[in-house]
Amino acid sequence: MKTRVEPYARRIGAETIDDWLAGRKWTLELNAVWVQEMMKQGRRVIDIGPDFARRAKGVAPSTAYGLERKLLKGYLNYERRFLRWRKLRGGNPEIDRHEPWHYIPDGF
Amino acid sequence: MEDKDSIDIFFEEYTASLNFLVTDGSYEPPLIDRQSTWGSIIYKVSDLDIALELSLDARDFVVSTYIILFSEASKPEVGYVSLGKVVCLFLEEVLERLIAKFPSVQEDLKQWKVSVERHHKRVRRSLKALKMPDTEVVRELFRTDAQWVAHFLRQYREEIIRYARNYWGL
Repeated sequence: MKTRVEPYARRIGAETIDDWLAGRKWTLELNAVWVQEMMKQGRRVIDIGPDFARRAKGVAPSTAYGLERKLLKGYLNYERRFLRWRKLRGGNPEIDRHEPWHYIPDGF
Repeated sequence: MEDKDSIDIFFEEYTASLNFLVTDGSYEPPLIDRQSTWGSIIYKVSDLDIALELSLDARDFVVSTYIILFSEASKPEVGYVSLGKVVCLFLEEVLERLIAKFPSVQEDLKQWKVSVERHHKRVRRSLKALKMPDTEVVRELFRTDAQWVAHFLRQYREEIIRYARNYWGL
């Protein structure tokens, strides 16, 4: 499994930062530029959430993902496509491992 | 980070540590794939639809190690599941299943986590300061993890494969 982002993007015909980078080396700065550029172009941004399976194994949250969430705060074309239950459970049912009780939405 | 790409370092360190899988003929030569934000190495078990996959998320320098159902999990549009079936098991999860039979696995798993976390902490410190980590720090991180994965496979690969075969009914 490469990362969760690419398989999901392929399924729905979306682009990822890899398409924009087109072979360039990834850096945090370019990651921020990419988000800003997508917002400037008014693109729809789909968030499939953090990798909860990885988090449940004790892996710290991703700095790059945190930065993206921060930059996208309040962006009107932001679309959330994941469910979360507390810190370590949740995901997108189309690509993530799940049991029914992993998908009790926030505020239940 | 300097000129050396973290994905190149990932390929170098893991293939160096896991080369023994191929030289003894039980696994096929590695399939290597990459994009700007990730790299993956797959060692398929000879004559079985099971493989070991190491997957680097280059954006946070985390390597995940899986045992996969090769024909399904290697499809580009498949994540952890395919048609409702889990096709990607964390190596750690499989090893946890072996503790009852091999109690020393428990301590090894703990040590694996502790030693990788020690290196990863340094990486996260750089990223939090919005700096790329130093090449040597990244190399040490990957080398440490790769050596642990190699250790587990040297010791328990038959049991790991047996578990996966039973899990997927192969």
